[in-house]
Amino acid sequence: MEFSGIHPVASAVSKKGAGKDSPRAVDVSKLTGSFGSMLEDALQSVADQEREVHKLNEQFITGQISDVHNLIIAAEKAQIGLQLTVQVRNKVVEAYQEIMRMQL
Amino acid sequence: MRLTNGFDISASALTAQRLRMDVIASNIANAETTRAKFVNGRWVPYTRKLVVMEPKGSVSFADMLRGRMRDGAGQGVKVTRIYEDPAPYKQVYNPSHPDADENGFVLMPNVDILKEMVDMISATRSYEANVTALNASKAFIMKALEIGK
Repeated sequence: MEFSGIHPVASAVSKKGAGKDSPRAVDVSKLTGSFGSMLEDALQSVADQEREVHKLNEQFITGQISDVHNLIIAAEKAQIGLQLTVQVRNKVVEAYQEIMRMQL
Repeated sequence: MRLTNGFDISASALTAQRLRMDVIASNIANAETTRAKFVNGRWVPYTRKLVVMEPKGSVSFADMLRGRMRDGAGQGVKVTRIYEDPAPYKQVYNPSHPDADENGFVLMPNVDILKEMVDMISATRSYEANVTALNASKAFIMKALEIGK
């Protein structure tokens, strides 16, 4: 996707917001890596959490763990991770739709 | 600091309280046990056991450094030791008991059921308090998800 038309506007806004020699002038994406890789990492960690729950579930069923709370807490963690991911996804889709609705 | 740090802290406390509950259950189960150990040709009764709890990550240098470099909120609790109550055994006059000495006295465990009951209430309430803390941590995160809705 090419947003070259928006770019001058965006840079004008950032210049207005930032001071003369503020670090904002630096390209942020170079410092933090791409948004896609960040999202991928987050999804990976959510998947890891869910795998952990499955492992604990199996251990619990086969009687290898006696602490029920550890299983429940792992499940809660996975659930919260998933909900966070869904919220981020909703925001991204919302932003995309906002841009697609833009008058040409 | 990880998002679910509060969960791990509360989880460590739940594990510790469960272990404490197990120790109390063992004390109550063995309140009448006269033959726990065989020392110098005589049976020694069961000795009451107690747990020692320590904050997690306070002992080793690496853990302490990690704790200081973060926010210093700590990493929870752990049971480091189960020690035996040094209180003397109860002497009960019961000449018909097989473990009675020549004067007819039997050594009984130094377990006081009343004390164990109080400890059990304490452990139960402590477990509940930690579950409440955990739910509060979760409520924080869920509320944060509602920002901007």
